Parts: sequence; C-alpha cells; structure tokens
Amino acid sequence: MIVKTMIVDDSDNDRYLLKRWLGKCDFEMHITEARDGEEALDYLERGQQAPDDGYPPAIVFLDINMPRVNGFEFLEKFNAIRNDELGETVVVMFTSSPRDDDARRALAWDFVDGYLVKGDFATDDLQVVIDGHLKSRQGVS
Amino acid sequence: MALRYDADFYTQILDAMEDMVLVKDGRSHILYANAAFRDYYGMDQEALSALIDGPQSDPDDTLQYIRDDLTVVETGESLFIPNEMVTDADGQARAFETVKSPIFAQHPGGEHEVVKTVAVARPHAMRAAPDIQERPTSREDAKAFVRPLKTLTDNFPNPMLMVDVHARVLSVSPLWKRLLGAAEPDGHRTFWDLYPELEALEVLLQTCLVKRQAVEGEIDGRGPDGELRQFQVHSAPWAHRDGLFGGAILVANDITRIHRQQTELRQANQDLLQFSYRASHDLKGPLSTMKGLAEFAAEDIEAGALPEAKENLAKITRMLGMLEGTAQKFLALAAADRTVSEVGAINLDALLAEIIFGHQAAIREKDIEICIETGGLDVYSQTTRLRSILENLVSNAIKYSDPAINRRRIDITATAVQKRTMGATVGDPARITISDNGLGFAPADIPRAFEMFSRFNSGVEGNGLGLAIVARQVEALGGQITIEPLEKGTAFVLHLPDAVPQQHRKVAS
Repeated sequence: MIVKTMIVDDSDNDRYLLKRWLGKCDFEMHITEARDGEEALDYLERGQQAPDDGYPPAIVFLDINMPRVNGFEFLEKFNAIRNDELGETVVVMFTSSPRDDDARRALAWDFVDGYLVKGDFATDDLQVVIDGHLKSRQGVS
Repeated sequence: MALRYDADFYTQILDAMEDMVLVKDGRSHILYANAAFRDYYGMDQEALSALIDGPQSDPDDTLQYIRDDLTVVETGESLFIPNEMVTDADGQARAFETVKSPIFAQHPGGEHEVVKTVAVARPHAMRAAPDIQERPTSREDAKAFVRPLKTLTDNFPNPMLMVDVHARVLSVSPLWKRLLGAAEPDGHRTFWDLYPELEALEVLLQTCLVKRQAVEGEIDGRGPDGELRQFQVHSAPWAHRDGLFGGAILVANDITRIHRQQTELRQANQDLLQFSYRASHDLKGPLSTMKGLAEFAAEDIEAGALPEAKENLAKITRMLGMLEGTAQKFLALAAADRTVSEVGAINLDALLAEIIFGHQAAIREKDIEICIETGGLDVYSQTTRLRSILENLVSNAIKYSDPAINRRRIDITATAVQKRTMGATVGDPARITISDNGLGFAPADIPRAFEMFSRFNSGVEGNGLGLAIVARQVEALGGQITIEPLEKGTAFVLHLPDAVPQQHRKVAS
C-alpha cells in the first residue's frame, strides 16, 4: 500500500527532515513537495484535470508561515476547490508556531486533522497520525 | 354631577401633591399647610403652627423664613431658593428647592396688594447640597464673592469658563475663546446659545448643574489653526460664600499630545508584541530544524553514510550563518529606533562604492552589472542611517536578481530636486533611485513590502526584516520611500528632505 502525501513548506531543510521522518514510518510513501501554498494549490488544481501518481494526496503536511500564500490562506482556498477526489484528503499542520490561537484557527477546519509543532514531536507521533488516518479511511491504494 | 370649586375641592388637590405647599399671611403666620408638609413634620396643622411660630423653634431658621416671606410681600415678586436646608421634627436636615410667591388682593381702587404668600417646596432629586454655614445675606455680598471668581476665570491660563445655575455664561478665559469658541459672554446668553458647536459638552454641563457635583469628560475641538485637538474638560460646581449653589466652572486641558502619545505607545506595544512573537518564531524554527539535521547526521555517521552526514552538517553550518545574520538584523532594527544625531556631508559615490565592495563576491558570482550616476552629489544626512538604507536596498537588489535573465543590472541615480523656496533656509530634497531588473514585486504585495517579516519570494532565503529596517531609517530621517514596479524588476525611490544645500542654485530675480 502506498500512502500519497504532500509536503507544503518553504524551507528546503524542513521538507528534507519531514521526508526522512516519513521514511521511517511503516508505509511506503509517495511524496509530492510544494514550496508554498500557491504552488500546492496549483498542483491540486492541475491534478483535478491531469492527475499524476501523487494525486489525490491522502495527507497534506502544511506549514503556516510561507511567502505568497501562507498556510491559513491555503486552508481557505483548499476548502473552496475541494471536490469528491479531495474530499478524503486531510491536512496536518506542520509548523514552528506553538501558539494556541494558530492551532485553534487551523483545527477549526473539519479537514484539518492534526497540528504538529516542528521540533516538539517524535517520529512516533507521525506514525500515529498516519495510522489514525489510514484506519479511518478505506481503500487507500 | 357638576363639580363644585370650593375650598374642599382645592384642599384635596393640594393634599394630593407631592410638593410641600405652605400658605402664610403677610406677617408670616401659617394659614395653611398641605398633607405633604404636615407629613414631613409628622403633625397636624395646629401643632405645626405652634412649632414654627412658637418660641421653641429654631430662631435662625425662623428668622430666615420670615425674612424671605417679608421680601416677597415687600417686592411682590417670586423668590427662588434653589437650595434651602429644612430640618424636620427629628432634627434631620434635607435640601429643598423652594419657590415663594405672593398672593395678591385687589383694592376697590384697582391697586394690588400682597396679602399672603405661598411657598412650594420639593426635595432635591439629587442630593449633593454643599454645606451651609450661613444663609445668604445680601445681594452685595454675593456679588463681592462672585466678582473675584469671574476675575479669576477671565485671567486663568487654561481654557476656563464660568456659568450660573441656568448655564448663563458669566465669564470666559482668553484661551477658551482661542481654542473652544470666540463668542463673548454678555451675562444673559446661555452656554448653549454661545457655543452651539460644543454640543459634546451639553451632557457634561447639564449633569454638573443638576447633580451639583464635579464631572469630567473628553471632547474634540479645533485649535485656531483648524487642527483637530482633544480636550479633557472638568466641570465643577461653584458655590457662593454661604454655600448656596452658584453654577459651574469648566476647565479644559489640551490633551492632544497625550492622546497622540498614547496612540503611538499602543501601536509601539503592538509592534513589540508582534516583533517578539516573530523573532522567537524566527529563532525557534531554525533551531528545531538544526536539531533534526544533527540527529540525522549522527544517524548517517552510524550507518556509514558519510556523504549524507557531511551534507547535513553543511546545512547546519549554513543555517547558523543565517541565524547570525538574523541576529544582526535585530540589532540593526533596534538601532534604527535609537536617535543618532551626527549629521554631515556624505559623498554618495564613496558610500555606494563602500557598500558594493562588501558584496563583490555575490556580484561577481551572479554577474551583475552595477551602474552609478550621482553627479558627485554630497547629501547632508545621518551617515549611519543612510548607510543602513542603501546597504539594505543594494543587498536586496543583489539577492533578488533574476537568474533567468542574461544581463542582470542595478542602476543607482541621485539628484537634487530643486524647489522654489526663495528666502527659506531649508535645503533641497535629494532623490535617490535604486532600480533593478530582478524578480520584482507583485503589485498586490507592495503595500505590505515594508512590514516586518513580510516575505514574497519562496525561492530566496530571507528574514523579512531588511525593508522594515529601511522604512524605520527613512522615517527617522524625515524622508519618504516608494516602490515603483517596473516592466521588469523594481525601482525604490528615496526622498530625503533638506539634504542638499542651496548654494549652487541660481535664484531667479
């Protein structure tokens, strides 16, 4: 089983770290990367027309503080373009902001499933997030 | 059934009133008191007249009553006693507002004569009667007391105004006329007649006059220059020497500056909060990334994957360099807010050459052509601030140059903008333009460009502080900076006021 994930983060290093952490989980991953919210939205909209192997992602790991379209702006725009295919997609925040109001604001969206603070979580947490997500979803190819 | 307008009819009406009604003859003997009056003293009419006219009643009070009654009888005019202290049978004093009026009888010859008086008294709704030490004695005394107060108001160094119980303006200080309304008082017109534009003070003054206690509030006014100003206004009751309520005195304080400072302080606090949040975020982010990279580097070494370990360590080293840069920018930001006073002639060519020299490695690596045209202009400014501005703008132009084009270039021009200010001692403004054919701004991003931590290019690393520093330095120099998007790239246009002496200018005759 291949889990399609997407990482949206402007930091090359943080994308690298998350990829390596995800690599330690017990699943085979297909990882799509985007450097900010706009690039991610472009990808998802393109996927609706011409899907590639990474589309539709089951989990999107989303940074908050990014240039052009930041995490919160992405959530709003993502909500607007969600269709049946993306209806199963969940977003997990992956950010260095430990602020409660940021967490509340993100988790207010029903498709936002988790809030991980960079540097404050263990690889096991990632496994739990992915396990939890897969258990609640059927038919992930 | 027809109504009979007899004595019983009127007695019933008078007894139904909450006001106390007392009718006396021309020599101040009680003839009639209504139910409210009798209730107040807890006795019937006979007992009441025995008390008031009897030898055991308070002689002073009685004397004053009698004196007031006799005044009404003599003058044939009503007497308003705004604040009359009346002691009941239990010795409890209460303040009453009393009107004493004459009752006339017509002689056969057609002449009118006062034969009786009627007093109607009601307790003050708002009890804030000043202490009464002695009853008002004469008109002359009151005048002698009011006059110095008016003199004080007329000469008070703050905006100050004095009104009587009916809000008739008695006197106004010169500063009040200058700042809040030029109308001259004539002793008859009320505050509302004279200053209809000071509507905001109506409630304040009304409250002070009705409750007879000090009130304060804030209003907007316009200074003589037409500039909007804020005033804090205190309204306090003033009393005659004998304690009789006289009216109100309004004193205004110009708090425009305090207001402005408060607004600025609030903004500064907000900025500080935003800054500390973003600063800690900008430090915490790289730190947790480095922690992750270090863990993986250790893992790589253990697994014998030395090239990857080396790469991760190199990333850490680069990030440490960036953190160092961020720390330096924080210092620069703090320095931008400090006052620096050294002003001197700065040769722009020399300053720019120095700045560009510091970036020569990047300029060579990116193959950027830099063209400077200043005409050898010297500007008078604060060196540290101007250097900081130009340094940030030049390094941005280098950093955000577009790798996709063949000939990357940066143009820097400086000119003195000639103004027709004959006879003025201010210098001309200098205009410095730094334009590039780099990545540029999306027009929608320009309004946020000078905000702290705003970043617009995901491809280039930065901390979003450079332009915030520029904005603060420009502000400190009293200048202006604007961003003009070019067809390809960006132009920053910096205006520095008073930066070029006028000595070379031809003055038209």
